Amino acid sequence: MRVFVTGLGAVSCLGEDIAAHRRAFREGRSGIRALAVFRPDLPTHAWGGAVESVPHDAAPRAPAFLGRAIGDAFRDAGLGQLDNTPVFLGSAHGNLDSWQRHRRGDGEARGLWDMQGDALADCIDGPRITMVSTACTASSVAAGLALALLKSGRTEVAVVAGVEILTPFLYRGFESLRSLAAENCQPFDRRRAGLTLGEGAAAIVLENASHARRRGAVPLAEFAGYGFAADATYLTAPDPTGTGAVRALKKALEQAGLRELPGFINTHGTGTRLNDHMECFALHRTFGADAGKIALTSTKPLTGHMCGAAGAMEFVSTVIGLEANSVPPILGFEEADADFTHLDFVSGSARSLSCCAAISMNSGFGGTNTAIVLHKGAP
Amino acid sequence: MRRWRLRATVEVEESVASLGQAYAREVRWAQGFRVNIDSRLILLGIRRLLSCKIISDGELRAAAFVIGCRLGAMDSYESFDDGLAQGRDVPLAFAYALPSMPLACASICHSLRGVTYTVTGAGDAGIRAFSQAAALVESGAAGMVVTGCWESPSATAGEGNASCSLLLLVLEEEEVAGSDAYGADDYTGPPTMDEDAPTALTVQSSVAALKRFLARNSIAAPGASFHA
Repeated sequence: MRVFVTGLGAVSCLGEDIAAHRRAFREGRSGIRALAVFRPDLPTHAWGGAVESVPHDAAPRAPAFLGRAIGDAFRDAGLGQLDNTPVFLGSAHGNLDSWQRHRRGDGEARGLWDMQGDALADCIDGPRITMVSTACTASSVAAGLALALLKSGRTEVAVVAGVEILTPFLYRGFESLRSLAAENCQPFDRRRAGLTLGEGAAAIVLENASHARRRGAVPLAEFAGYGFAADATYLTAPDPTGTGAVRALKKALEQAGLRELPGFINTHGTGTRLNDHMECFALHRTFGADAGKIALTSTKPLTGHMCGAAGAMEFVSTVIGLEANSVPPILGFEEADADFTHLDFVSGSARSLSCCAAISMNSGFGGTNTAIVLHKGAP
Repeated sequence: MRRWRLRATVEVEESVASLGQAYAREVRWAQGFRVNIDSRLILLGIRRLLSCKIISDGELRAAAFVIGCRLGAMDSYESFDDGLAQGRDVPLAFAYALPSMPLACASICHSLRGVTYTVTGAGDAGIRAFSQAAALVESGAAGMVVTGCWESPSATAGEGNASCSLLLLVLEEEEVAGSDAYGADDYTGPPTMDEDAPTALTVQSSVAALKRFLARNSIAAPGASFHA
């Protein structure tokens, strides 16, 4: 059973819809900046990728982001309203803003994970929502669950979305772990000094081949393979040997039946010293000397690290790369770490590259790793 | 079509104080002396699965885990947020303020390297987790899945004095021919929560909602059921 991507939606610091994201990824434009002016709730030195159109004090913001991204994906797919459709959501922290405000005596109680339907009412009547929280792999795990359901034949269409909001809780938390860069992150660069946070939502419409064909939908890509593996080593640091990431990659490649090298890999690429080192090591272990023949990118300097939404957003940016024959650059990358000089990082500006397949990788706290293999869309 | 059956269940119900004592006495994980309440609860449940010989070490390492929670890691969220309000950082509490951390601890403690998914939601979280677990077996992605859900006290939700509760279920693939376990000839897939949805979304406890769901669908363990 083949599964196709037929619609994309996104809301982030890059813009309010998928058209803005298609432009930004092709142009290699970042939405990261100093946040002091319009985010008084964050420390004055904060940098990040914030969505300005939904005020920071308009809690809960997550359902608003989700509703926009899913509506955008439905428009992109040319879909009208659906009934009883499975929706797989991923988020690391859910409605953290309204939860925090309620604790301060302001606003009604709303559960951290209460995303039941209200944001999706324009698109789906009676959505069957499953929400997963596996830290920064949450929405790529959501995509994996949707793929399994579609391949089992129990549904013909499913929606995947990831959402995360930038809150003082999240910012101060990463700051307390000393994981934040002073300004924008620089994945894989020898001077990289940490990650930069972002927020927003991304959504993907998935359909099996017959459903897409019946309604004349044009596939944007084929979702060909998914893999998940746990490190079982540390809670807040990756396994330096990259064993979990290697196993996730191999599972996804096996499911996809990929015979040639992927044209590019959209890495997790956070800009932290440990993550980037682990990923490069995992790529070398998976592809051997051929790892140097694969173009590597990270879109986190464009969007910021969207935590639980990162998997969905990077799924979207990988599909856009395949669609446009253009790999977004790693903004801020100038010189590779001495350990990574054998690898091919896309730097400066977007690279023209026509290829049949690409991979999106994510890793998260608790040692979770995912890999997603996408083929260029072909009916 | 692969089918699943319920091998056994384990249920844990403890106060926060008695959970700490049981965790220290039974789990004995040297690295785990600072883990949060939710992680202690999950680790205790898994230890009891092993000590009752419901599942072997080898089976545990090969199994997938899909477990739901409604208020996952709330104790750690509250600790970190209290620190913020008082102008101090509590990095350890932030690190544990993720619903997936209990399964991450289980992964490290028991060398679980396969699927470890945490499903979140309202009162329906356990039912959602159960449905995904059943689907994993049916799709052939897993031969055995440990599923269920847990609840821990939350001061924010006005349930600070509630007990900690956990329901774990072991689902395994079964041979279809001649089986009298769950799944008749007209089997159409794992039960869905549609009938239970209105209730599951309003009840306080995802564990209670999952129990009601199991009873409504006549899903009972053919083997041992251990109630601590």
